[in-house]
Amino acid sequence: MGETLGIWIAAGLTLMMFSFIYRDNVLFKIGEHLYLGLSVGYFINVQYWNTFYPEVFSRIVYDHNYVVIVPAVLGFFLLLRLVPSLSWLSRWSFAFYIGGFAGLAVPFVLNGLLLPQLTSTLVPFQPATSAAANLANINQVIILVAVFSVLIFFFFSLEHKKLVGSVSKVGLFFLMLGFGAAFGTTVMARVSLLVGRFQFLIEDWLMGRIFRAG
Amino acid sequence: MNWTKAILNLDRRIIFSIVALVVAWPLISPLALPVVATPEVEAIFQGMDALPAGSHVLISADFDPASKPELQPMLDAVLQHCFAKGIKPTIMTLWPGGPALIQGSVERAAKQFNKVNGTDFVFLGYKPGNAAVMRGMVGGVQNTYANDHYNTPTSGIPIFQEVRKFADYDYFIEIAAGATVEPWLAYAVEPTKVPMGVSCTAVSAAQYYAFVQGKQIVGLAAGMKGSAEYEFLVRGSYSDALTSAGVPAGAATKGMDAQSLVHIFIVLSIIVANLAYFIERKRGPQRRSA
Repeated sequence: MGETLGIWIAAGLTLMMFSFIYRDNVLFKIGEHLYLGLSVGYFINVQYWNTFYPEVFSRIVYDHNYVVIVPAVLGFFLLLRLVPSLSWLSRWSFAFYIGGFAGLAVPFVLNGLLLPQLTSTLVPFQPATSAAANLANINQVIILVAVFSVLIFFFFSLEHKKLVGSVSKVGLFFLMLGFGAAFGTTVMARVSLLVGRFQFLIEDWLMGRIFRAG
Repeated sequence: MNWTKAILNLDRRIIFSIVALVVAWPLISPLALPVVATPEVEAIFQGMDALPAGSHVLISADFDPASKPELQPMLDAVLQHCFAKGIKPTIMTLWPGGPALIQGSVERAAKQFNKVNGTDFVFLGYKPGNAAVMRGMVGGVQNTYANDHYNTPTSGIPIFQEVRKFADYDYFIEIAAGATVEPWLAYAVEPTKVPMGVSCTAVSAAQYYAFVQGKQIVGLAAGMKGSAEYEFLVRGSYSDALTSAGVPAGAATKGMDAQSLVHIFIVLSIIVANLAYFIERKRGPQRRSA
């Protein structure tokens, strides 16, 4: 019974949200406000029970670990941005957070992302002994040209004329290829979401509840 | 009105209606278009399939209902693969909206394959603080998660007598709806060299191919298509196990018919609309207004 009711509510809300395709209307507004309200309520609940209660409240009250008060106070300072006369206190929290996180991130990001990507950009050519090796070499040339020309495109200390201008145009071409691929996959992702909703409407609601019940 | 003007002034609601029909038709009457696995998805599958029974895999399911159609089928397929092969998965999430969705997948797969919580799999649930959690997992699972999702102390869970830290895992699968792939790589995978397979939303796929090219990740499953390919590979290799467990056809595979048809419609629409635009432009303003 509970599952059936949930499916009917979800189907109704989905159709209310889809009604915006026709035009903005009161049903869409109701669905939109319900979604926002429920999301905020849900996330406050999740954060309270997964963060505040176990990491702050329990540690102070049950474990008597009073060191936790320091980060808890810094966290509270972030909320003081809402009080103009005390908003300067939030800068302490940001300074601590940004300083600490940068210290953690810099070595790991350099070693884990930047250097491996640089290494894989500058791979030595393979001996041309097979078609696969030749293709890999061509691929490597394309990668090198793309990286170099895109870097030149974003190099603004020289005017983009003559040779620099030509190379930056090649960079622009590669950027457009990248944006095209990203746009194509974005369309694919959005269509997937639509397919997911239609799967729910057709399989779970129409086939699963209405026609089966009939 | 000639056809070019009709196309250029087409009411967007007509286009939406056609898209709705194109999506609904194959879901009501499936076309069973073939699914072919790409090398990137096959690499993730082979990486997992090469592990012996009893191996440990960490799955970080970092998504929420907004990317359910793309990523939940991948989680389902990976769990089916693990359980069919006797691999023990540890599942966790860094997304606050994820636990209920992921719990559903984990419990469904465990029930289908008769797997026991704590011995055959563990669901750790949600933990806030992305980078801190990742570094915490490298230091020790039990230090990071004192309890699992069901509030059982991790110190008493049998699986954690066999794996204690990130480096003890034989394979790592990241199912990502957002920007958690790079932090996992930087903070956990590169320092420990645990092989990593990635499933991501189609939106972010383009940026992650660089990590496949650089051999930092084993493979990449992009969006619903990647999930459908993984479902296809699991069903192809473990057909008997899936049938006896009563596992229905994968949601991504079923959705791919609709996805393919909509893509064809979008491509045709772009070609026809551009054709109409250029024909109208060639006619010039006088003839257009005439």
